[in-house]
Amino acid sequence: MAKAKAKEKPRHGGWTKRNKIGFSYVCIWIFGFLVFQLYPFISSLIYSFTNYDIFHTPEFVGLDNYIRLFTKDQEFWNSMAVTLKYTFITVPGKVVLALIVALILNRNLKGINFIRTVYYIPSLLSGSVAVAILWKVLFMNDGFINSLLNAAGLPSVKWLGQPSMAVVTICMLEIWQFGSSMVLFLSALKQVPQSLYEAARIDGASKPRMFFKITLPMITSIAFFNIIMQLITALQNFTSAFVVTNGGPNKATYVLGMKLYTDAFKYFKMGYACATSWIMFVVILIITLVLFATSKKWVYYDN
Amino acid sequence: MKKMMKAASLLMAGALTAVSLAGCTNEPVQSTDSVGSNQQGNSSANSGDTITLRFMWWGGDDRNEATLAVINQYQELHPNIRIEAEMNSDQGYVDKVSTMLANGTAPDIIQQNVDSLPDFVSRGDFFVDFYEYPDLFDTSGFEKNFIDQFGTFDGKLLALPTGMSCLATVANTEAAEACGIDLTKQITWDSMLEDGAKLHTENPDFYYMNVDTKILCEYVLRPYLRQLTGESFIVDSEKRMGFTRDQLVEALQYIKDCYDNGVFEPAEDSATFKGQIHTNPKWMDGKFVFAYGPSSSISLLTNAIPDTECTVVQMPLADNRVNDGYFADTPQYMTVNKDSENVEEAIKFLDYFYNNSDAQTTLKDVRSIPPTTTARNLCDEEGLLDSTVVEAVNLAANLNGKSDKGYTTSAEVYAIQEDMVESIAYGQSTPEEAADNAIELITDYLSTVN
Amino acid sequence: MKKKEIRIGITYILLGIFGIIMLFPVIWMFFACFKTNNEIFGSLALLPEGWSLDAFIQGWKTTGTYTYAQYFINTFLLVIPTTLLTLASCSIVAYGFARFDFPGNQFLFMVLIATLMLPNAIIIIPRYSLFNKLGWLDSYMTFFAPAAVGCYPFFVFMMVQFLRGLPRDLDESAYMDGCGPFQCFVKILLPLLKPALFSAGLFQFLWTWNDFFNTNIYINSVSKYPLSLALRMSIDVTSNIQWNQVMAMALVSVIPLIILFFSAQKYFVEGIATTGMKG
Repeated sequence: MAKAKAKEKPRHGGWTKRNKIGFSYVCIWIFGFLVFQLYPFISSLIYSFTNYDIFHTPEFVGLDNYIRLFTKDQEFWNSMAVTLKYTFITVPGKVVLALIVALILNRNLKGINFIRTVYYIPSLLSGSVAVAILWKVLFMNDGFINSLLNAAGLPSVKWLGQPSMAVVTICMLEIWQFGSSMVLFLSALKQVPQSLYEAARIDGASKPRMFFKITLPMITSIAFFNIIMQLITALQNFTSAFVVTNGGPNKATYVLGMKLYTDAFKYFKMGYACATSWIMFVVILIITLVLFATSKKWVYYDN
Repeated sequence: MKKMMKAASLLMAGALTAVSLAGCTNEPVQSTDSVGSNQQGNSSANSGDTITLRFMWWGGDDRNEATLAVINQYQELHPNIRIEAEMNSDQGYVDKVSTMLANGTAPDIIQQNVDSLPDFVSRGDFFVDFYEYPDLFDTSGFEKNFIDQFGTFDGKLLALPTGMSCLATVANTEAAEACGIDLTKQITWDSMLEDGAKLHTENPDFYYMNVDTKILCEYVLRPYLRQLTGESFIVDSEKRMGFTRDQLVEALQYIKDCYDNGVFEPAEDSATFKGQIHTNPKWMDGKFVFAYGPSSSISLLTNAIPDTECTVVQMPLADNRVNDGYFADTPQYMTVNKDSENVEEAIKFLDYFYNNSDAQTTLKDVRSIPPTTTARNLCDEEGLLDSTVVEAVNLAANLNGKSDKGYTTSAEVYAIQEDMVESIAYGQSTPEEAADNAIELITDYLSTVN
Repeated sequence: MKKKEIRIGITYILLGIFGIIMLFPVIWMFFACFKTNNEIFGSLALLPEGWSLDAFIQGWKTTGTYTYAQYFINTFLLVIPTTLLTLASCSIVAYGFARFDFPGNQFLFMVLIATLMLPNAIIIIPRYSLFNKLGWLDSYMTFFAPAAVGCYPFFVFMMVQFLRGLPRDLDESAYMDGCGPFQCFVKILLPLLKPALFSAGLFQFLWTWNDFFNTNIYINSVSKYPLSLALRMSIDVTSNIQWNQVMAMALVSVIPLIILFFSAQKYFVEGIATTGMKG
């Protein structure tokens, strides 16, 4: 755990024969990074200033793609709004639910491991087409969920047909898969020193007070990490929107990932799609940086 | 704990690195390495004596079965040929085909949608000209002016029409009787709105017409405009729109009225069955009087209600139309990939597919009325053609509308039409707003095509 | 004491109820395999009227040329080499990062961490174009190649963390004894790295198995379709969808994952806990 110390000693050990061999191992990754990550990353930026379409030689078009995205393309703004809506519903929903369940499961009961396993199963299937199809069937107009509502005396909801509900349906699919966040929280909760609780108990602190004063601060760093990784995933969502609702109805679930896919692989406006992807990247970056900037205020550092 | 924090701080550093990397590359660099040829030869070489052909199409169960049967017949006759059937779905089919053509992984034989083929032909030299292989493919079964109109581009026969088809209005006779709809009366746009509204008020469970937002583009929006203007949605030769803003607003207002008055089922309800209106439970329960569908897929609609008698009626025709707007067409095309390693074998198979009498009687009307006179005569003699399909095509034969396949039906323009209709169907824009937006997008599209 | 027991009992009941709600969609999916379309829609009954295995048999056969046997084989042909290549490349790279202090090590490691954040969406188009030029589209090379060169920073990161937790003396003493660096790695560190290898392997297996975005873009021929694409195709290839067949194949497609998970859940949980993977 505290290995960080080792790195602070000498900055590096020079180019000894041994280090050269070590470097050659890392070179495997460097090669991969250059070819499959850095090169695509930079070409994506370059393409975003061209009319690249895979058929013809790309021509430089300056800022045209970006200008069009920002000033002309209403679909882009719709997609941006849908994506942000989706992200800001699923990420907090998932993290909060994961935390609550982790708190409940964080005790030594017989068979608790089995229960944890059960809660993790939906996450196991995350992103799979199988689950997306299942969701579609469950939430159809005369699907099981509506039958359930009717049985309870409630009216049917047009889960997939009504634009405002379609986003909710997709979000529910995502939130349902909170298992991995839960496991993360569980491991963080295990690391909270029991001595803190004991001390608090002696002082006569109430349970809610202990939660807010001890538990919550101690797991903020995990929560922070969790939120960032979930954000990056959520902003790029594609499969559930594509399989469950195909972007509809009336573009209500046409997330940025889908717009990108359609522009690039259906209309072959690859340069344009690259520009979209860069805006997506900048949004991810801004949200992450804002979180980092504010993290000092709410993330607890234990050293 | 600490580890996590360290990860987080490293992540931060990473983010900053990424930003600085982005900064380094901000100068506009003309890329030179991005100029690549797309000519990737198919890697499946002639392995041994067996030649493998990939054949891709989409269709319902009937079409799949019949096509597979023809493939099996052919394989039995030619043991050295193996044909891999790639049955795809209608949804996303065009995307798949265009991707495969772009990256050179396309199958040897592809069934093409009529809507998208002109777009592909204009984009590149992908398909074999059947006229170049007169010894392998016999075109004499086709009527000359039919293949001139469907499949010939610049004097080259790049695609073979798979049949004679049209847009059809399928009527559920029982529902029509229950609701007192006279099936012998010629439907006009006005009568459709009037009768539909009346029907839904009197029988709230029933709707006049089974549609989805994509069908509306092809069956209502564009024909309505064509009857009004006598021109295509987009006039390809002049790269301009064939309608005025007011005319578009009128057509959209008509669609809106149909939704508002219960002629169509609310979009919220029908959305789930988009692309598969025959699976709508209301259709299966006989709660729609009419449904729109291509003659090539009438069986989908009729098979969904096997116990009910169905018939076809003439498409809506306005009293004061410039021309009929509707026209006879081909349902799909067959093309052979120019980059195929086995062009000749692929053509030979298609010759069997179109001209062999066994194949003709197996395929029957799974792609609407057969395209060749030989097949039509043969199937007619043996009574293999579905009478509703024949009836639908006969009805369309007299219509004098002109085909609008081209820019109008390219993926992008189609999407614009669909979005326009959806925003009306969901009441998210007024017809004026939707029309203005669509005109702007189409103008934009036309300025980019070359 | 009694009060405590009651409380525990209530906790169990609540956990049980919530667990059933969580798993309900999967349970429903299982029973749906035995139902007709009429039972699936507009009905509240959980249990089917009959227990015919027809949906599994018909679904497996499909109406097309290829049966699900082919799709399963394809999935394994895609997933297993991808996983093995990932493990091989990521572990050796992690060894390079964790045990050698060559100049620039820290900087490179920072770059590696930064790539954790790199959205796939941004690189997919140029990658597609690159694979196109290399003639790799419509082949599994599109998955093998990035795996072979350690392009999964998550796993490298995870293994570096793990290796740093192992005492340096272990391999350094072996090095003193005349073992080469590679021998040290294979003989001493690799066996110790097993838990991390398992976790990484399981996740890579899972992700590749479930992947739809990349396979959808890179794989075109039906004969090469993995399960995810085959399933997607099954919902609209036939005219009147038999949902029980679709559900049956969807279920069958995730059974290997569930089996794998139950037999190796320890590594799953450890993997998530140590690196905070999204799972």
